[in-house]
Amino acid sequence: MQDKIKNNLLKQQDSDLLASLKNLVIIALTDNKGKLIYANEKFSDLLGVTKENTLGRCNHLLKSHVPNRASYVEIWSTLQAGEAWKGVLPHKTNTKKYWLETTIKPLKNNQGDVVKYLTLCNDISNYYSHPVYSKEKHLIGNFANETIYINKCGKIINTSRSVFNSSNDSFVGCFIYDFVNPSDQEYLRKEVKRVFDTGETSKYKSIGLCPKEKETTFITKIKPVVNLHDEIIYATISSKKLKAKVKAKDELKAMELKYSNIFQSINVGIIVVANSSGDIIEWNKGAELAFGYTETQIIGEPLTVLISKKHVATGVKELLKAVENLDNNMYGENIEMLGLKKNGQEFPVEFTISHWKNGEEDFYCAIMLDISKRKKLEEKLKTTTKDLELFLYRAAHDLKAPLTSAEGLLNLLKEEKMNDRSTQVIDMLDETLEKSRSLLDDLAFASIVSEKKRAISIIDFETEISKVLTQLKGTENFDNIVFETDIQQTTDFHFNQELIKFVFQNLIQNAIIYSRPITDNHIPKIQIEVKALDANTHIIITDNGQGIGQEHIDKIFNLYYKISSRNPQSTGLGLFVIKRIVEDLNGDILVKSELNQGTSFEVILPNLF
Amino acid sequence: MLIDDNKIDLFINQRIIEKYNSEINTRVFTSAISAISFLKILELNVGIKSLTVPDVILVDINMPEMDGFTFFKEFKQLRLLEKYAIEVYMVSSSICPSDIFKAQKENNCSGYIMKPLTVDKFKSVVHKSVSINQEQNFKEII
Repeated sequence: MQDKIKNNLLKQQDSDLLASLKNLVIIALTDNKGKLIYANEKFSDLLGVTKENTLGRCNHLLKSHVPNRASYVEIWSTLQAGEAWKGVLPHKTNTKKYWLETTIKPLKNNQGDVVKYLTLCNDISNYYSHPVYSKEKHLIGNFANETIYINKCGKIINTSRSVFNSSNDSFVGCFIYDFVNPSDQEYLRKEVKRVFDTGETSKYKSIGLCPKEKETTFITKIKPVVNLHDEIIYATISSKKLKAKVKAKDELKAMELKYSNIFQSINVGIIVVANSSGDIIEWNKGAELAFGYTETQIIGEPLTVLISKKHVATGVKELLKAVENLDNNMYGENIEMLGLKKNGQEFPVEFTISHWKNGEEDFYCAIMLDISKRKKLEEKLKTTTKDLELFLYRAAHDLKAPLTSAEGLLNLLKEEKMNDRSTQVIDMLDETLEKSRSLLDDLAFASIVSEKKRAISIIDFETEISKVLTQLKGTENFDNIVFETDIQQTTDFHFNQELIKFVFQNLIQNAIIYSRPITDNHIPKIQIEVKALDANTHIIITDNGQGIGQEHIDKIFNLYYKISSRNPQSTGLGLFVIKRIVEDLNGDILVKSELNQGTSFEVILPNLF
Repeated sequence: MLIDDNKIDLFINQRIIEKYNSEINTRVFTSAISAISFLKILELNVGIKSLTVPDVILVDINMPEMDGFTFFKEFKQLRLLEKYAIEVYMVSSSICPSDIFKAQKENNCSGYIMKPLTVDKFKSVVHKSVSINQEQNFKEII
């Protein structure tokens, strides 16, 4: 009898207990597929659903509360493993936001298979809406160097003194997660779990919120604390500010300031243009001085406003060509153009363009030089050179007149009767006059080299060479010399006839002058080779004469340079003038020689179409 | 007729001609303007014994006031060439190609002589003037 009463009392106790629990806690029961089989009143009230339509819908409800897929996966994997999952889930209704401390426990039957899932939720919204949270949420900065003690769930169980400059009672019982950047909450949750599970210390970087600076990097350390039995009882969590980030930002600012200053201070104009539109996006002081536009006036305008109206078409063409070259990775191009100032004045300007990519956009930077001064000097130089050449020509020309008179007089004198001494003197006078004559002829010729190049005709090498040889017939040793001519031609050679004649005449004359006299062992030979290619012609004169010593070979092209005074007719100008011709027309002249063996001159002249 | 502003050159030329043939008469002028004036008078007074028309005129190119080419232009306007065969030679100390080219272009200019005048050079001048051709083509440079 007593047992029966006892049983009844116990039963009553149980049902009373169950009823109380039902009223206090949110309970739900699902089958092993996640379908809802039982939910208490609090569950339906909270979730705002009727008993009828909750059945079968537990999955969705659960899903909607889980912050992301990863946690959802985590929850289910925990459950699949037969373990209970504990965590905080948010729940929003139209009026309020709830925080539910949730435990989901799998219920197994005698065989050990999971048949049901029991969900228990505790409404802890009060803690979350605790005034402390909203007030102190942004005072993360004070975390630095302070330690907070947390339990497995992340609940603060104690703090070291002085955190938040107020009593720590208000924080004990709160969850650490509210004090961290929402984007880090998930990670922190994981780390806390890991620390408690594995006993390892966790250290990681995160970005926190600070009242003084906008964003600060923190290093957070979670250390587990063990008791005498080697069980983890709680963990300490502390955060330290990472000063380096601040430093990096300052450095970046300083660098930007430095380059900005350099950019502004440069005296030459710099214009930076973006590709797609060709508009000006940067403008510095130098550009303002040169063109007259201030930064505000010119930014956004197309580059073409800076080009003189007449040249816009050609200018743009040249710019595009330069841009194309740059895109093919060629180096900065130089373009000359006529720039247009704000006041309408035109002035010559030279651009150097460089190119870079910033992500998707192309940028072009034009550094410009005002070359008006330079251009003026160029013009002056051209006119001065022309004047000098004319002066030289006239001087040489005018000097000849009295010389020819002297020659004439000398001829008359020769007709007169005189003794040997007089004859000697007369002969020497003759020689002297002849020398002056050739000198002046050569000088006159030299002075108008650049003029002569204008009359271009097709050169007949055979005729020219034979003319020259005929002219030189009277020279000493001429008759003993064997001349070999070899002309190879693929195309017509266009050049000035006078200049070619001069080249042949002087080179062949030199070869004759410096030939060795004929002996039993030696026959003087002069080889005249012409190789006329499409782009240029090579004229090669080779002799087996005296050769040129090493000490002379660099100087032979100098003005008035003569190796020996052997031939009084040599003016010392021949090679000088040839060199001038070659330089003027971008040709070349090469000499090879060996003493007592011979000399070879090669003149390369471009084909002037 | 010799026209040259340089007296020495005139002297040389005269002596050379004398050397070649002392029979030849030479008339010298130091200025082309005075030569033109003379030729004008000549045109109007042909027949007077003392005024004979020259067979050959040697005129220097480089002269002040009126140079050789200008003289030649003026000379052609006198129309003496229509009645008489007169050889006109340009004389110069320069081998300036532009001068030579200019002389070539001139109609009725008989040639270009390079100073100094020599007997040989003069010989070739004279031999050409023997043939009485009104329209003489330009010969090579003597």
